[in-house]
Amino acid sequence: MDFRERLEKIENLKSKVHQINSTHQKRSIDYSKSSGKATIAEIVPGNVIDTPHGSVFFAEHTIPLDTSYGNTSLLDIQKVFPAGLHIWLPQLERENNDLKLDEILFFDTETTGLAGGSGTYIFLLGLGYFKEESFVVRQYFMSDYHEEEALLWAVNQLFSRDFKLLVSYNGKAYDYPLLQTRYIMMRQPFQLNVSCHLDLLFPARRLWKRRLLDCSLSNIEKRILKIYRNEDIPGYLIPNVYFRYVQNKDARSLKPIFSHNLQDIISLVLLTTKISQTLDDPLSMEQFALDLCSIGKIYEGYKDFQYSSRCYEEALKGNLSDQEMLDTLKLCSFAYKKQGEWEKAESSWYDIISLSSQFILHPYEELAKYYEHKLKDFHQAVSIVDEALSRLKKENNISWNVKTQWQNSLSKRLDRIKKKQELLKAKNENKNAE
Amino acid sequence: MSRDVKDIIQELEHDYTIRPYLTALEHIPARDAHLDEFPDWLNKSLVKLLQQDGINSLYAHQASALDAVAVGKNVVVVTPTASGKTLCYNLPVLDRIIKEPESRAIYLFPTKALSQDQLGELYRIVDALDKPISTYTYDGDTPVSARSAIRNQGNIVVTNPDMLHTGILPHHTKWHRLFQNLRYIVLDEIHIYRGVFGSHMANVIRRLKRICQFYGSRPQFICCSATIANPLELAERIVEEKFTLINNNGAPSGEKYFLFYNPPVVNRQLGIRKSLIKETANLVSKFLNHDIQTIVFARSRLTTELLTSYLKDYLDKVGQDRDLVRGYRGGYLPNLRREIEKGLKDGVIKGVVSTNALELGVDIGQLDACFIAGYPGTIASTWQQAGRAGRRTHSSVAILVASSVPLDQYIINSSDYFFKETPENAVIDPNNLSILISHIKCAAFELPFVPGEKFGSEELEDILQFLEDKGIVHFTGNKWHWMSEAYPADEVSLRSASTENFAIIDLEEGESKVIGEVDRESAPTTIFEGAIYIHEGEQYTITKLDYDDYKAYAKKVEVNYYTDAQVESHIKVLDVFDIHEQENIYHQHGEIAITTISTMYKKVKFYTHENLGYGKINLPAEDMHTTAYWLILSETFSEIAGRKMESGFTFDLAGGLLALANVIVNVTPLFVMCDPKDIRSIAQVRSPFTDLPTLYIYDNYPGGVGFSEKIFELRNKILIAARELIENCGCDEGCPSCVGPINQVGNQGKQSALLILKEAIR
Repeated sequence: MDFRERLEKIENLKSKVHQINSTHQKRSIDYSKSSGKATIAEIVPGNVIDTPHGSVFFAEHTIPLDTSYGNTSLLDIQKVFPAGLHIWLPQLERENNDLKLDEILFFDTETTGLAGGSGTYIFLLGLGYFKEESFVVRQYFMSDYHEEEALLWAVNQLFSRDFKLLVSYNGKAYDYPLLQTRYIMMRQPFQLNVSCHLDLLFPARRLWKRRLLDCSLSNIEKRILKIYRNEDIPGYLIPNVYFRYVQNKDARSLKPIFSHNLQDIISLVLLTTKISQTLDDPLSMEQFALDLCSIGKIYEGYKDFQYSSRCYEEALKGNLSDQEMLDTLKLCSFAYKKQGEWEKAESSWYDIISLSSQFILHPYEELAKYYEHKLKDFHQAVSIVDEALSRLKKENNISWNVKTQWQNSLSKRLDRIKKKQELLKAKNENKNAE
Repeated sequence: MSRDVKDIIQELEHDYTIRPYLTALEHIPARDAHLDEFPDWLNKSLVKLLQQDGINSLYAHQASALDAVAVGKNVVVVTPTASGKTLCYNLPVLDRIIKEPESRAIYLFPTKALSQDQLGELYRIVDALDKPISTYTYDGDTPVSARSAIRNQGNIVVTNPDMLHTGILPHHTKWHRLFQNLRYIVLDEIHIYRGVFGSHMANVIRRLKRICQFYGSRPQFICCSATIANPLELAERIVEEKFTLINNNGAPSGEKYFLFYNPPVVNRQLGIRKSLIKETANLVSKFLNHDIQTIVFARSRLTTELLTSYLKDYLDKVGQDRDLVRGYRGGYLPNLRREIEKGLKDGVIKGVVSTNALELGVDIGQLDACFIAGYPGTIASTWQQAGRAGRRTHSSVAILVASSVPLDQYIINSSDYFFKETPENAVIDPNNLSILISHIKCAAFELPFVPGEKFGSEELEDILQFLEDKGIVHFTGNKWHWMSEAYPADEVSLRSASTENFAIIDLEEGESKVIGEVDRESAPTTIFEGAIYIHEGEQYTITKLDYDDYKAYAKKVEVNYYTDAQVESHIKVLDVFDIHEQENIYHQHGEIAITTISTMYKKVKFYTHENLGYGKINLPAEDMHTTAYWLILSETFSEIAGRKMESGFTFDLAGGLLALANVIVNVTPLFVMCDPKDIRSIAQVRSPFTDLPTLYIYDNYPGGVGFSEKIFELRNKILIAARELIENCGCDEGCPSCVGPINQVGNQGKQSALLILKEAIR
């Protein structure tokens, strides 16, 4: 058996084992049904730049600002940004920076795999920025692996412009470190020098996770921005389409990837606008009750408890399930407490007790603390703890372990309050005696 | 009051029930310390710290190691257990970091437990030094939040080969600060890196060196090894650089006795000896009687547990505390292990029974006596285990008790071979094509290959060309780039054993508690429903096995038996790679699918080992694709053989094949770099594939690692060795020490196997 044959045997054997082990196999679409080939320039409009490391192609799209997508247009960003986003942009806040629109760089990459690590390449790097009266998207493309050096060099030229803010979706965990890796691999300096990176995944999750559960960019696009892509290429197919292109150089199959990347970048702008809008003055717009809860939570982060309690109040008027109602009441009661709105907090705690079919500890504890420490009304404190204990005793749906723990903590509290009560009584009697 | 071991050795020598079965009694005299001064260049604060610990000079080997490292040489230090080898690397590394605070080092330990242990020692020194030196462990348990600090700041990163392979090298750009400033790589316990693991390790080091070169660093290697025949060669094969051997051991040791004990034969015809376990327990109890702290090494988990319970029973009988003897093995949880280690150091525990888990550097102090129940497989391991007993001031003893397996019987009767010959060679084959190609993929993922580059085999470019044709790498701009979505390191396991473990959960009184773990491979034979699982001498029965969630539920029981699973295997040949034909015999090599299923278990009574009954095992079959060598006998072989048999014998085909299979599996490790358990055999009187009598020997490793190919190549040498082993055995009709027990191979098995060999050897 010659060397080549042995290699075949070993690899076949491994792939058989691999096939048996892998539970699902990836489907791939064959784009090369019709005959003939097309070059990249025939497929997407663009230019070739010469660099000291050879030339590289980039596609360029200039989009007028009044172009509208779904329920927003690119122009809207001017009206709101960066209002409402301060919590995610601490550096900008600190530097008291008046950010100009053309200082923002939007970016998204298409890669040869999702695994990460030094064997994952960026073959398409999309960058969007405002220029005069339009939005420009440049998509740098390496048509083969040896063009990476030129691509990174060309991108560096753009990076060295005066951008202050980078905007991405999941870029902090994925695209940005990968880009750093590629520059290290090519031994080139990384010349992007922004003071701040806004990864929209974080605010999007905080805002919509409660309602949407799935916070992928494509789901956010559909459900929030009301943008419906037609014939979008699913992300998991992208690497294989690129690998095929590298081998057959037929660029027709690449078109959906360029469109996909372009739309992603446009969506970054629209989503930035949407998030700013939502956070800046949420009560002025119609909102889902669940989103109002999420917004209230975010305002808690700003320490604006008054505004957050207003959000919760609005949410409570809306359409919530029983459990969601309980959760919101809890949030709301804490916001009241933080503001010192004790009566409102007290009535929220009673609402929780009467609404819940099951025993919940926290409203009783909060009420007891309120009566004991704030009102110094020990009598009322004792009676609320008594009530809690008697309700807990009847409760059958709580595990024995938790129940005992709660019982102990309530009993301890009761003892303490009673002691205080007696002390006070004695003191008063002494006073009276005197 | 504990007595000197000398007295008890005399007692054994004069005991007529023991004396005849001692096949060796070797006296190893005490050694004095050979000391040397601290080298001038060594940082004064380090010297001061050592002096505070009462260390006023170095042992000769430590001084030599430091000198060699100082002049830029790679060193491999070979000294016995407890000779202070960690200083050989800690001192040069810390000295360098004090002088150049940017410098970095990687410490690689073969197991996680070891790295925890060594780090404790290192932390103590670093704390006392009061210098900004940071040392971290980086392994699967490292929290994600701590990882980035380790990448950026860790002066010393302690990790294991698996983590380096899947977690660090493929993400080298995140570690660029480490790689740019990497001065030292420490490989401790390199004798562990042999066979498959070692061959993988050498490739991981090739990848590591490629990455270092990319970042412009050229680290020095400091290796440590237990005593093997070829430490220098092994280090040079793993690292592929020149090394200096440091073996001038300067550490003192007390005198030591080494005894060999071969349990008496109870039935010569059947080759049955008295039980290894019972004989060991009996001997150990004599030491416990004299209050001598003793460690017992057993070869398997089951033996460990049986010995532990026998010894605990003995303590009960003589009215002592059962907890004076403890078990110790891989499946125990870390807390319990730490408790036992501490008990040993404090002397609270008088005896411990362990698997080879305690063979490596886990710190339990030094004990007075060491029993090795069953030959551990290599001379190196035997010395390493024996090294657990050895006080500096007074005498200690090590006793090897043989089982009836062929290798044990060979060793126990050839004490000269053991004491006079050098320990065996650690063999690795980094260019095993199957292993090499996996790591070439990983390396291509990490950095593109360029023409003319070296990575092991001369045939690198052919392999890359091949991978290119498969569309896995892509050649452009004079480089081979990785062109696949896959993360190749995830597809290669450096060790054959799978990493998933089954948790054993005790359901007592409604509170579930994890009492131990069993690795996936042993699950079907140890924790099937109905199995008796022994943990710390307590018996549990497995009430339920949740195969999908890797859980087994257990309930404490008290029964007088243990369980032993029966395994059935089926073979399907998928492809034949190579054929060699000779008269009446065919040799083939190819690819097979093997299905193994545990079907039933026996209940075996304690002490008498009689069969108490059977139970069914309902578990899915396990499939494995691998490579095999097989030997086929022609249709007419039996007829011809029948005529050729010596008078008084009849040719027994089934017995002969089985006997031959047993011998081949035992002699193959002498020729191929593997343990006997790395290969398996199956003998079929009529194989469904060949339709002829066939004997299969296969790689017990998914995908195969090339053992069977080597067996096909070296078949004649292996068959000759098999014949020698059978012919030199003193038994009449076969015994467990050569072809296997007669009740398995029949009383014609031995002669029939010899006849097959006669025809097969060319």
